[in-house]
Amino acid sequence: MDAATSFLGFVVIDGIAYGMILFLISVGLSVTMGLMRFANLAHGAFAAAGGAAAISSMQAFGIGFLPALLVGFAAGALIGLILEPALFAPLYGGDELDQVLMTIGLILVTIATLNLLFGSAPLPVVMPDWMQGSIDLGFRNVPNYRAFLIVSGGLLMLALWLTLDRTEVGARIRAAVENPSMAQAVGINTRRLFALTFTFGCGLAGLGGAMGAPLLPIDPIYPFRYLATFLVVVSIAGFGNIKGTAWVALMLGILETAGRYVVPEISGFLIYVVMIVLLLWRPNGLFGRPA
Amino acid sequence: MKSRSLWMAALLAALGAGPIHAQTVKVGIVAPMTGGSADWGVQFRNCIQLFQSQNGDRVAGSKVDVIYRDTGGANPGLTRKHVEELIVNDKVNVLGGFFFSPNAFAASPVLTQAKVPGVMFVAGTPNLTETSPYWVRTGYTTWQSAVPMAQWAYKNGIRRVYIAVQDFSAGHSFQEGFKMSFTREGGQIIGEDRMAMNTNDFAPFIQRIINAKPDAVYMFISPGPPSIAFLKAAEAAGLKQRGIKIMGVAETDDQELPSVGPVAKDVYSALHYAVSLPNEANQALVKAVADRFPKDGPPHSGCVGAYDGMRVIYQMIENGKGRIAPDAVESVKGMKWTSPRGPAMIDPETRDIVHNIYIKQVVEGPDGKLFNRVIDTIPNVKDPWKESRKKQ
Amino acid sequence: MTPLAQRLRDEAAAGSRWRIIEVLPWLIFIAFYLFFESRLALGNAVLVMVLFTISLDLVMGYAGVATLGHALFFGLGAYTAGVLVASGLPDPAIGLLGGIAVAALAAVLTGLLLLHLQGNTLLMLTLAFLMLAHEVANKWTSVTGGDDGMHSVSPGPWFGVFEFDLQGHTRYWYALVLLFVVFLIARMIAHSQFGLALKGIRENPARMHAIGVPVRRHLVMIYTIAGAMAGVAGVLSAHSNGFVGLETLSIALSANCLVMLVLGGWGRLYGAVVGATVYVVMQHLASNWNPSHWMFIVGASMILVVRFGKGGLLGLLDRLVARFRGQG
Repeated sequence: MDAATSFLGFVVIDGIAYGMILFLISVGLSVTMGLMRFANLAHGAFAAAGGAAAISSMQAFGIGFLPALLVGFAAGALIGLILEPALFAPLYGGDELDQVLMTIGLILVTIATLNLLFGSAPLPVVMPDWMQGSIDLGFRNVPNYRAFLIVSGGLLMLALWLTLDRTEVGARIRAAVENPSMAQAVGINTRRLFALTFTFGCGLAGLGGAMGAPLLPIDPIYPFRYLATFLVVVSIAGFGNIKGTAWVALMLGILETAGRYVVPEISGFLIYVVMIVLLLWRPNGLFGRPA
Repeated sequence: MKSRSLWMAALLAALGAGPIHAQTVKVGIVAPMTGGSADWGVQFRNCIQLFQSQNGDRVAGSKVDVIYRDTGGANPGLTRKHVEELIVNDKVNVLGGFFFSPNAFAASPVLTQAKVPGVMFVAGTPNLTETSPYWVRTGYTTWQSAVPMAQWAYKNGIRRVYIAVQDFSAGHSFQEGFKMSFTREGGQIIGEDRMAMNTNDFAPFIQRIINAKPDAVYMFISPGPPSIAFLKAAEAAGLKQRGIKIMGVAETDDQELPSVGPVAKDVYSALHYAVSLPNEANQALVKAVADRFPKDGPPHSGCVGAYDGMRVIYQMIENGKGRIAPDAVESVKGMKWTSPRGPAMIDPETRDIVHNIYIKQVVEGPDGKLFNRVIDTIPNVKDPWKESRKKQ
Repeated sequence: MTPLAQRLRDEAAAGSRWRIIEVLPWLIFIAFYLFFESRLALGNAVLVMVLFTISLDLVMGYAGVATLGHALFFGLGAYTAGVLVASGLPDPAIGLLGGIAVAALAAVLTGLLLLHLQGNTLLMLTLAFLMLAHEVANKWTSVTGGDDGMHSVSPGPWFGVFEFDLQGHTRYWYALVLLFVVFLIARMIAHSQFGLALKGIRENPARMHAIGVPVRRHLVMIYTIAGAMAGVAGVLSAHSNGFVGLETLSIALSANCLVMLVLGGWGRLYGAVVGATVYVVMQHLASNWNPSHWMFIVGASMILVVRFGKGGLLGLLDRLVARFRGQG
């Protein structure tokens, strides 16, 4: 098995698995940013809350990993549902600075709350047995967990795309993204649509946090620690574009994995340099439309 | 009858008492009391209180008052402010604590300028004691962990090692110490990686290690989400199944094991303390901590650093006959005592602590829980970093 | 004249004369020196952050440029000062000039590169440059000391006479004098035609373009000036602490400054003074609490300010005064 093929095999599989987590966590953000044009820097807070809820429910009620994922989704969605009318809705279409400031405040409150509830140590995740082994593909082993990420991430991507593209709800969302006032004029209740979409996006974040917990451990600083990472994904992709987010998340996952594998000394810089170059070249993201 | 004995008591007290002004020696403890490393600050405080409850809060007639200042994380600017304030405003006579090396570095010039002794309970960068003649160390140095680990590895048949450390100064220090010692023994370092601090996914580094086919990997990662992620990635890729041993520093210390979980099994480490040490002083310490602070977990190297630190400070006060004299640091050079970690001494040349280093392995105990078992002891280790510079 | 222009002109005209109350903060700072001599380290920290927050106010409060990367200039100033002392040039004046030069250069370069962009893209890019600088400082250990930092960079005495003593007398006056000078410059800008144009750009960039204001040139200019001021704050920090570390190039520093500005009230300079002072002092007092409590309060305050109390503390004060006067 020569080095090049081994390298390719490794980078593709591990990179895609990592990219899937990036996608799962970022897609909710992309949707809310694209739809409501809202810079939700606190998006990681929903991921952390979902992850924390999932882990706690596993510890407290002894439920399995898969049911706990649903808890994670529900927790993220519920918090999103509650906070949306109180904090986010009043700022739609308003000054971007206000949105940034409010969400920074929300990050701080979330970190403080997580710390008070769970202490400062990372929450331990017990992976189910079926996730702990690995599959022998001949040329390399693929850990079950990573295979799970790739498969479920792919299914989710498909489901989201189909929903947006093929259903009526999806059509309304796309209409509202393109032209909010027109959408309202033809009778689409944009207010309710936004609330629903935001809630769903937060649920997705919670799901991403829970699914990714074995790889990206949940601790109080989680919302701040990974903020840069998924902001990068969403900025480069361009807001509101699910397919674009998927592509960029996967590319970035592969790039970061390959970078750390091939040139670990500069891999720390790499992501920032790439972001600067790409954003200067395409300020609206690779797949976004001009504002 | 009563009044006469009262008179007697008063007379005796007046005759036997020390100086007429009751002196107080103030100790300023600078540590992370909050934030991600709060556990260390808690252990410092608990074990200082324990020491004072066992040895009294008076030495040579003077009362010893302890003040705490919180540095949060690695916050050198804030630490320096705290140290200045403690000295100028609170008028402390001696400083203690210091978990993060950058914080200790920031304090050095102030100690020298104000001529105030400082006792480092944990901060491990070797040249710290050289940055000010007022430092005394009761923690450890990075090379005191790295060098014995390398020596033990070679002694036990390991010949090819891959080094993977987090990319910051502590990581570099462990890397250099291990490399120097292992190659000097005759071993081979077949690869070295400095992993960026913002690494989320360690799989690429694990893959590089696997590709190189070492006998063992030597790691240093700050305990927390990154170290957990690293060990989990190693487990997922089957590092141990491929026969590659994992050697580290503090990632699998007993207090980390609950968070790390089963992936910690069989990981080796080298440090100056283990909860399972069988000596009398340690047994007493573990019991006392369990009795007095049942919710804060068993003692770890932080507790021992603070406990021994207070002993050194008390000795300084005694040597100064109730105060911290200008020659306080001089007076504790060569000081020897029995610590829970084993025999301990303050190196008269370097002011570091000389102590045993224990090679530990994470195994399953009789109760099914994981713990660190001591499998080898290297006695009376001085700071190898300073030793290596002497030879030049 | 359009209502917008009229309002801006009124604001400017009203503010250019010194009002009695404006002397108050300076009296307080001087009083602090006299009555809290053992706490000059805290006072110094306040002065440095006030200076930094004023520079952010010019960029964000006046020109409306949302940035999370302002710490870049602070850090560059700090590290330049540190490197100069470490290389054998301990004169604080040289450190100051060097820090200003490097920070201003970085500001004009990044400004030219970025300021035609808007919104989230601009925000992300300012962040990216900051993080890149952070990584460079982290890796370049031979110069910056990496994460250990540069730990003995106290400068030599001012004019060969005023030593940087442990008590902090020299440091405090050094900071206060610099802060006052920078404040005067900021105030002058705020009440000038330039300042007026900046506010117009913040409110309605398209309109400014339409009436022929060189928007981008103005933005680059204020960004450079503010960057230089942030550099001064960084130099002050390095000289006062005798120490430079990676926290001078951190997102946390940018975010904290943002919080101080918002809580004090942006777009009016004194909001920066009040916000930074209150925040640093409160943080000091709260340092004995569990920081989760402190963080919670700060976060909640931010949310409340954005939702209800636009204008921060000073805005609140304005409304209270107006209500008082209305009833009187």
